[in-house]
Amino acid sequence: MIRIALKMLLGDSAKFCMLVAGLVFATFLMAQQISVFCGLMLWTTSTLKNVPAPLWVVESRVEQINETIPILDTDVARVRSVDSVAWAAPFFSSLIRVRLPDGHFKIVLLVGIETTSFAGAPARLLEGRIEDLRLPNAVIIDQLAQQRLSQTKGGKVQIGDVFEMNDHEARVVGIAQTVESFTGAPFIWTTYERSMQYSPMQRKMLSAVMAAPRPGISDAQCAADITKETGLRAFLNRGYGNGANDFNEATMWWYVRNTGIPFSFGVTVAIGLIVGIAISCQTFYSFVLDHLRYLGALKAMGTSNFKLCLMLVCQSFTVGIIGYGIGMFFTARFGFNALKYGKPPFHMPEMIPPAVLGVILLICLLASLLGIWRVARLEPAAVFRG
Amino acid sequence: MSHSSGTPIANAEPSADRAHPQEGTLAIRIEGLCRGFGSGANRLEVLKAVHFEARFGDITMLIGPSGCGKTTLLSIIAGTLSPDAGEGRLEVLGQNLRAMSQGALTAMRAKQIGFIFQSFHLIHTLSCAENVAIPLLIQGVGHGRAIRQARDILDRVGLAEKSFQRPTLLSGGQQQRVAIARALVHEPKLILCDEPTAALDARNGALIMELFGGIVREPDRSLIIVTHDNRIFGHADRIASMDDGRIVELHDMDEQHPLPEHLRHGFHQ
Repeated sequence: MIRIALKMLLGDSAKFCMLVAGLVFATFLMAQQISVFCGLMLWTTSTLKNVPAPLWVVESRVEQINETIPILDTDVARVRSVDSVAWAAPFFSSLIRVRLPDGHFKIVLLVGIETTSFAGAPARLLEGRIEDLRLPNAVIIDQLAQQRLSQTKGGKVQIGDVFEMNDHEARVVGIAQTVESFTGAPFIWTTYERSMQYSPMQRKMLSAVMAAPRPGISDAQCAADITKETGLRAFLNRGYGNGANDFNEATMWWYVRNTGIPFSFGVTVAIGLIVGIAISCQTFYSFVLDHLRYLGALKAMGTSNFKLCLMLVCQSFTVGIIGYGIGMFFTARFGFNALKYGKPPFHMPEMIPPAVLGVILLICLLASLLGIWRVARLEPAAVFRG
Repeated sequence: MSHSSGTPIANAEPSADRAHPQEGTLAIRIEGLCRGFGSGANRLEVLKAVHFEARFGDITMLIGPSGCGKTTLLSIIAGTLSPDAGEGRLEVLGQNLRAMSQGALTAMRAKQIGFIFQSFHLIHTLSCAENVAIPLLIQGVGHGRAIRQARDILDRVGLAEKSFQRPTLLSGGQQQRVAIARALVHEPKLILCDEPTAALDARNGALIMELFGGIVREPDRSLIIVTHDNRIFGHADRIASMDDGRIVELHDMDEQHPLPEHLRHGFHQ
């Protein structure tokens, strides 16, 4: 009977296509929008990805990585003095203007790191060597900066090219691969000392201290020790889903609480869900009504209500799985293009596909319930009345 | 009710011959059955203490004017409609339908009753063979075996070459033959037909009745036909004439007892 049910479904090509289209739309809208949202949240923590360090020590009022309340240079030494700390290194970050040879300006995120240990150096270098940062006026830029700082459209800055930051010359010695930042500013690495020259001078310049625990001590324990002994706030850098003391998590929730981003994406996802439910339920119910005389005949001929319900659920789930498959294909295509071109932000956590599948099947179940309700109330005797 | 008889009605207990019913024994026994719709002032009594019997091996036609209760009686015989509570007797194929649960009624319809509907109700997205195979599929027979059996029965109604065509490509007469094949495929003991020739011209109607008289009629099978079509009355073994919710005349036909003159003109729908 399942085969019969599927043939009934596929035979009504107009309604079948309408049902599939509705679920493709719902799947795409939900999966793509959630992934773009997650990608955007990933961008908010790009500094934590591009400047890897197990622990980040910041001023006690700092709530997220993109917020900078400078601390004293001596705080590096204070952190180093904590017993459970293996190493600690200064970190500087600031948005500054780059002056191009043609007189135009571009905003970049300047990162200053310690050249002794190179703690906080880019995780992946595409060209050049980290050690070349020790050369005079040396900087390492990311791929985005390669494009943004180019004078020619479509051109790329190469190793050896120069530009100006705060009237100081900067010479490119390496190209790094990075996660794009939330502000859209490209990353530029230089030494901590040189970053003081590139950036307007202030009384306190140190943005954060990067640190790592001694072997055998957990980073959570080390963070607690640092906070206890220095009064500074120490965040972990494990990733999302690791509690409020993780800088990634704290940053993400800060954006969720303080910006309209989740509301905007939430509305779009809700629209996808509502449209999916509306189209699927309406079309599937209409499909059931169109086939009611056949269902009535089947019921009169001895098909049980259970079997008829099974047929409807099977039809509904078949449409759901096809719609989900096509919707996820389009989402994947979108994702591949987004990752290839670097924008818009796209990050699909592994829980998203099964979660969206669950929602789609729920929509299908809801749609089939309407049909089941109608079929259950159908009197088989009605079939004799035409 | 007047009863003119060409052959005696065997009054054997239906349940005794349930497994191998004999020609002439009763397939259906209904006594004092009532059925109404609505309540209070709007209550409409459709069946009023109906008495009706049908034998195995017979073609029994239920005739009467529109609204006289034929379809309601057919629905009750099929177990798709319950009679009113009361003392009326309702035995179909030796089983007391009043005492059966919905599940048992559904199972009985699946196994022992074949249906031929007025508008065929062939599923247009399935092939003829698949349509015919439905009663077997309902019983859980495998798809391949069901299709093979369906093709055999389509061969018997002269539509073997149409097995894999869709019903919409067939003429009305051919569609009705597919519907007949569907009613026969699971070898039911009772076949219920609702206006089987209403949608057909005279020639196709006659062809269908030839089929009924040929492959459908079996000694251990009873055929109940609800019809207005006086052209086919002559094919009946027994005619039960209904009016105003009652069987008003039961006429058994044979060579000595042909169709009475007053029934030759039929009823207007």
